[in-house]
Amino acid sequence: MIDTTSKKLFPSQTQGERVFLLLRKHWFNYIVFAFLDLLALIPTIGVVYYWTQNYNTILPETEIGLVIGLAVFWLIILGIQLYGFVDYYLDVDIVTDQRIVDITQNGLFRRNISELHLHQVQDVSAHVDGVFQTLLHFGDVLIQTAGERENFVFRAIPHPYRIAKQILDLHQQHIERKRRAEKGGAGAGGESEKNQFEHDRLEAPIDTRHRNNESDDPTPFSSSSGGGNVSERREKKSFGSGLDLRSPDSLQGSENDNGGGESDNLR
Amino acid sequence: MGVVILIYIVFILAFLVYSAAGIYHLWRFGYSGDLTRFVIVFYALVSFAVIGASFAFIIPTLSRIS
Repeated sequence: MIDTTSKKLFPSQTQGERVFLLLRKHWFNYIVFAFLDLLALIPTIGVVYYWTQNYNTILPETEIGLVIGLAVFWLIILGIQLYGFVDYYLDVDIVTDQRIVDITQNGLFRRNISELHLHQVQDVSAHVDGVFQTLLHFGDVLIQTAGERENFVFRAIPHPYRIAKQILDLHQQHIERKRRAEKGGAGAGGESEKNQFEHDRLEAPIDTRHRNNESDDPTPFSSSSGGGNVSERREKKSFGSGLDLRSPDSLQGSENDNGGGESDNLR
Repeated sequence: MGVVILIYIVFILAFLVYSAAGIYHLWRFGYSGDLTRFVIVFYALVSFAVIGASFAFIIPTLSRIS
């Protein structure tokens, strides 16, 4: 379990900012590096076999050469694994009660952090494309923004439909809270409502359960993909268009659809 | 043979610098409680095991040749 209290998850995180989602790419995106280890065993076994077959005739210089060759080979494999792990594991998407943060790690020396405030979210859509993405429940989530800002894409994350819906719910709640706080500020009891808003924001628990691979629960939404060949199937779902997408009542209803534990986290 | 071993030592130095950069990234940007600490320890142990094993073989063999 990640301890989100002892260290900031991203540089601009404010005190009391609640982290709802911490997402990494699906493990399938790392599997190519795991295969590399298996492939590396083949030349290793070949060298060991050659060595054992020529144990009595092989020269000491050749032995040293073989050992150095094997060591260099495995150190390169280790180096590639480290590169792959850094690239995979430090590539994180974070959703808080105020913003969406996309941290992109490219190799060891390129790191990019982009932020988007929740009120700038205009449309959220999920894309599942291909056999592996369909079977393993991962895909892309596209977050379209208001204005000229670049769109956000969460690539190859697990359970994209559910994540898209949660982002949209958070966006809607953010708008509602903001509206309530503004309305409260204009009225007589505005200060107390503002305080309640701040209190709600600071006191709620942090949830990072939606990291990669932590749930086998499939998407709670009905799939748009019908029958037909799986390899030809392409799924796309859009979860909203515009800031005043749903009324608070309908939002409540959709939260309940999302399963008890998760809807609790969204409140 | 001396040249090969020298090249190997230079390679190990470069590898150590590269590893330090990677481990620094994991340590700097990882979060407490996640996999980064485990990976750092595992990577360091395996790397030193490979390097150590190679020298544990090379040194006695060299002395045997000389």
